[in-house]
Amino acid sequence: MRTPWLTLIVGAVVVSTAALTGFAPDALVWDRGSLLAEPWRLVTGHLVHADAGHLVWNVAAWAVLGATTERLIGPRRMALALAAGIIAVDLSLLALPAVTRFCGLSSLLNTLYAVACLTLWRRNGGALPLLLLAAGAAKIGTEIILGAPVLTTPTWPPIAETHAAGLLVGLLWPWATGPQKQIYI
Amino acid sequence: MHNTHPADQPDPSRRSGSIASALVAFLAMAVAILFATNVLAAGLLRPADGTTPALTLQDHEVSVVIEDGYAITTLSQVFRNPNPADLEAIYTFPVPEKAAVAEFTYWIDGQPVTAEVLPKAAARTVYEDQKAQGHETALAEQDSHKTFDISVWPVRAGGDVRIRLTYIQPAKIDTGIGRYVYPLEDGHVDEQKMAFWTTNSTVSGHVSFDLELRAAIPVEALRLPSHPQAVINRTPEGYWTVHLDNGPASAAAPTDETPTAPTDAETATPSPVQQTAFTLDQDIVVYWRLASGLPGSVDMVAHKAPGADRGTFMMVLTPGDDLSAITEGRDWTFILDKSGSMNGGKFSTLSQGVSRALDSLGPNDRFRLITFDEQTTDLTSGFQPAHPGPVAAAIATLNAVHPGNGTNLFAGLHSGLGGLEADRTNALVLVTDGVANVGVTARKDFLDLVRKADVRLYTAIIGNSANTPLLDGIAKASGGFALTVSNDDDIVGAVLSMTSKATHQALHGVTLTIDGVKTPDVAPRVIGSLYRGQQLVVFGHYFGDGPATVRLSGKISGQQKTYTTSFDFPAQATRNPEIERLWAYASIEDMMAEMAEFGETADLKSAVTDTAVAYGLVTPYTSMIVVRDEVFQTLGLDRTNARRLESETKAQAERAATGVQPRRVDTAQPMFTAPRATYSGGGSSGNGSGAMDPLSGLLVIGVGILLARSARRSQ
Repeated sequence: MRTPWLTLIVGAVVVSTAALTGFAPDALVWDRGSLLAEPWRLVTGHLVHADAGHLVWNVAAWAVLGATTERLIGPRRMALALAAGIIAVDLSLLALPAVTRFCGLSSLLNTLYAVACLTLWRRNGGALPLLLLAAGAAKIGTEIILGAPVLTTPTWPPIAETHAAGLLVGLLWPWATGPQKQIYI
Repeated sequence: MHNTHPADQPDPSRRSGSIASALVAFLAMAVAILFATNVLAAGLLRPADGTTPALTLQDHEVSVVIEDGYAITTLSQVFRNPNPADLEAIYTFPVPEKAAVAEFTYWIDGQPVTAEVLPKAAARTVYEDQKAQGHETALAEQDSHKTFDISVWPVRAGGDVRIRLTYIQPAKIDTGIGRYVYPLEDGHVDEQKMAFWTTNSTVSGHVSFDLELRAAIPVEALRLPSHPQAVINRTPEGYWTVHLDNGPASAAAPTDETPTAPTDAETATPSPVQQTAFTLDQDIVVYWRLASGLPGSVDMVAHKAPGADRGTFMMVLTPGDDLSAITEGRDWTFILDKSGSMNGGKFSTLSQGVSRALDSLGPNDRFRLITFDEQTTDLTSGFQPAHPGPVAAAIATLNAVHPGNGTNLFAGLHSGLGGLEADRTNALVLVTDGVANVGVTARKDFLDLVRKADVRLYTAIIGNSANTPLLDGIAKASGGFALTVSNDDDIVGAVLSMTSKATHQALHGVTLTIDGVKTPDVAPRVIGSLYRGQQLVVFGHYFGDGPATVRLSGKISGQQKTYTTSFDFPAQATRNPEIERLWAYASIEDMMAEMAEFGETADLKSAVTDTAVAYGLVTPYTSMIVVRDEVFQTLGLDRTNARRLESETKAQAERAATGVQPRRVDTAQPMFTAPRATYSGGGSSGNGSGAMDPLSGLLVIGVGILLARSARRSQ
């Protein structure tokens, strides 16, 4: 079994950033008014978190999904998927004028979630991956319709639209990248 | 009546937040409509019949220092008389919010002479006597809540006169955003005055506005929403400075200096200002954004002269953000001012705002539209479900309304409070830019009305010179809140501010107790409610020194809540003598409110006058008068204010030399555990996150299990 280095590195960056800068550091969050002058926020905004609960949940999910996806498609493809996810989520944020500041990893987790489910489905078949995928999409849809998170109340309210953007990139990923040539399991 | 207060409802919901956000956006649109024409301004008054030749405003220079929890604004003006005869200058400007006038200076024979405070009639008599004798004299008076009026005699033929006026205000911080307003735009609320006078608001010479913000806690950004040409800098000490003038702009404000949610308009490139005449018709609004994540805190500034028994304190309590968001459908009543001042296209824009608000209501919400001028009209014939059909019909009806006539605010409120259903949660939204001038106008009657109703009233007081004491008093009596909004305020900021309050619980029935040190004369005497993001600013006297226990108590959703801390009151403090004036102002505010509710009594009037004279304040009962130095002696006028001013000037110089000092006093025993509320703290504040939750966790685990199964198959 290969060591999921990308997952470990990104996870370490997220945790150590929180330890060094605290939660929602003003210099790193996605801040609509500062994007032109400080473009790194387009990336760093996804790596910082609003509070301890926000961080713990996202890092735990990252550990599972990151390791899973990295083993399924390899670190290079996973990095590409994450880059595509970042672009899509940033675009979705720009399309939501009410959102001025944003932080958190989970929109990208939705990208990995979709990539993992579809890759497993394409490899093994069966309904379970698609059911999981449908459940995730339904959850996001419910949150968009209700305008409220279903089971969480973080300090900064979740933006379900960005979860949808991340998931959409993951759904398109297999078709955008062609057939999987190598399985890293 | 048994309506449940909306602010008492627990259980957060973003949908409810979005609805309230839209409703409040409507209020903000009501603000935007006042960008309409016919804007009046501060300036030199001249009889409208043209019998008096015109003076000119030569220079208008403003300097503001914000430090230690209050702002000191100094206005220097030069009036010029191009005519062949001596003239009297009368300059008027809107009363700034909670402004305690500290200095009024008139240059006589090239030397500055500072004013003393006298009862209003006595000051006017002195002014008229000196004027009749041909002596130099100047008078600063307050016209109720509307304007400060400055009279100067004489402006010699072909000559100039120079005056300076300084006022002090508590610095306003709400939800992590500081706000300072230099009011210039007239509120268009005194029709008799407008009919008698014309106003010359054009400054022909130099105009400048300089502000220095010396904050002890981190300030992330500073911004002037209506003045993109302002030059904003940060000094090596961490202070912020703002410079505006009517000369060519030397630099543009950095684009990242935006304390609130930026909009497309905010990214517009600043255009250079030409050296040209300047019109005093636009308020200057300055925002500054505090760092997020700051703890809730208690800050205190004290003044106690060496050897004095009695000290004065200003305590600022910034609660932590532990008020939950509220949910459930509500009955919304919009009470809309359609009096004559809403003409000129304002009301059609108001209709658009209502339309947007109604479109955003949830299926369980209901709405009602009530307009008022001298009469009231229930446009919707009672509450209607917030469904597309009734909403469209209501908007069509509203679009057909033609504003006009006087303002019967009482009738509008009375109508809005009628017909409420006890088993529904009700909220009233009042939008007005005027004054109550028709029908019942007594404050006591308004207060009785809203107290009997037991419904929260959220009020947007739009523009300068509105009857803020009345409207604020009514809102507080209902347990709601009132926000004053300048036409030059950031609409996004106004929306954020009102939204975060209307969608969260509030601390009601607030009391503050101080044990361990004797603290009489606390003002305000009644605190009322504290909404999310609001600070509590309390003034008082104290005797003795040493440790004191401070408790802030109130009820959140009916549950008693108490916050406690302990800290020392100082034995001596000389850094901030100005807070004595601020205490006097707060104390006078209480007395004025009492008189407005229960009628003017000789005792209260005397108490206001005595306090104002002792602490050097211009009020509706007292004025500042300047005469030649020898005339002060001849008239036997003690130079009390001159001595106080000297002490304050010395302290200001010392503060400038020593820099800012922390004012937080509860560091050892924090009163609040949660960080203070900010717009970066969630709610419907414009911030968002990508967050996982237990359901997402289960799905992720499912993927992990699938992977494990897949791996086993591969092996």
